Amino acid sequence: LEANILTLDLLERPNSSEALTNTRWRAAAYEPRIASHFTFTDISSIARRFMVPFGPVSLVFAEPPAAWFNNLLAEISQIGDLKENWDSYGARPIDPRCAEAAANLLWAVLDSSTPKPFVVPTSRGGIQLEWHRAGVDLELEIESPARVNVCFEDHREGTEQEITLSGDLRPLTHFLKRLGEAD
Amino acid sequence: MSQSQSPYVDDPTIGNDAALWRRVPPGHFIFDDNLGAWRPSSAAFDDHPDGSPMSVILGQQVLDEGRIADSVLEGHDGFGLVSFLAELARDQGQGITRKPLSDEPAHAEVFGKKTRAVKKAFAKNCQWVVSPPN
Repeated sequence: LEANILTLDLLERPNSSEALTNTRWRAAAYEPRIASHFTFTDISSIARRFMVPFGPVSLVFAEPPAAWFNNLLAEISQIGDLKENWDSYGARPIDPRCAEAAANLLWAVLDSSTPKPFVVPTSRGGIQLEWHRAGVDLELEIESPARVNVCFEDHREGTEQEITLSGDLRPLTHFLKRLGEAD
Repeated sequence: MSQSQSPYVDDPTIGNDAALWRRVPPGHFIFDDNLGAWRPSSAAFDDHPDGSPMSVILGQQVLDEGRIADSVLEGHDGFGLVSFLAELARDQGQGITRKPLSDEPAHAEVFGKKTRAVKKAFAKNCQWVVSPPN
């Protein structure tokens, strides 16, 4: 149990206003939360939680997430099974900490009505989240829990922006709002 | 590393009209609603994690050897195969060099910095040679 649990800090979903300046998102100062020891109390607590397998570890939620989030979690979980060289060009297995970061980030900025991204593994062991709709291309590359690159291209306006995401999620929520404008 | 700083040399015997093939693994197929089509993710066009340049296969050489496109997917169930022109790579500041392997004599490498723009250019301007399985 010691090395097989990766705790996920999704205890409480921030409301939409909190998400604008989300303080729970700590990409710039990531602190590893792979548990090294559990007491019986911890184990009892974990038993009540919602666990999502991710390769050799599990992502743990304090409670089952909303139904609309389950498909995304399933997609994230699926890429945890990728083995070394999964792309035939020497790709690395996906880092569980990137999966944790992806789940945290999506939980912070999406809601049930937001278009859902493609969850794409990267050859360096990261995760890329992609939306291509409504004349917009939005790509988030989670290179590591501490580094998330965002590329937003609006074909309607002919504009393109590339940023590295920090604790301030406002740029991302703005981009996501543009994605949904065509609906 | 830009092409001008690269230890690799662009091979002039690989013409701009040369088709460069690259395998696309399951998980890198995405539906682009803006294009109305399935295409590879930009994540499918990167250098190797060890830093060596992006692998491709010289399509015409495969055909000249009497093989078919599907042969480069042998042992890679669920993969697709895309093609892009050497000209596209060069327009993106990349160079191409032959690097035959014992199990793939048509192997080559596309060298140069793979910025997001470069990877997106490949992803949006390639064509399926072997479409992803349904």
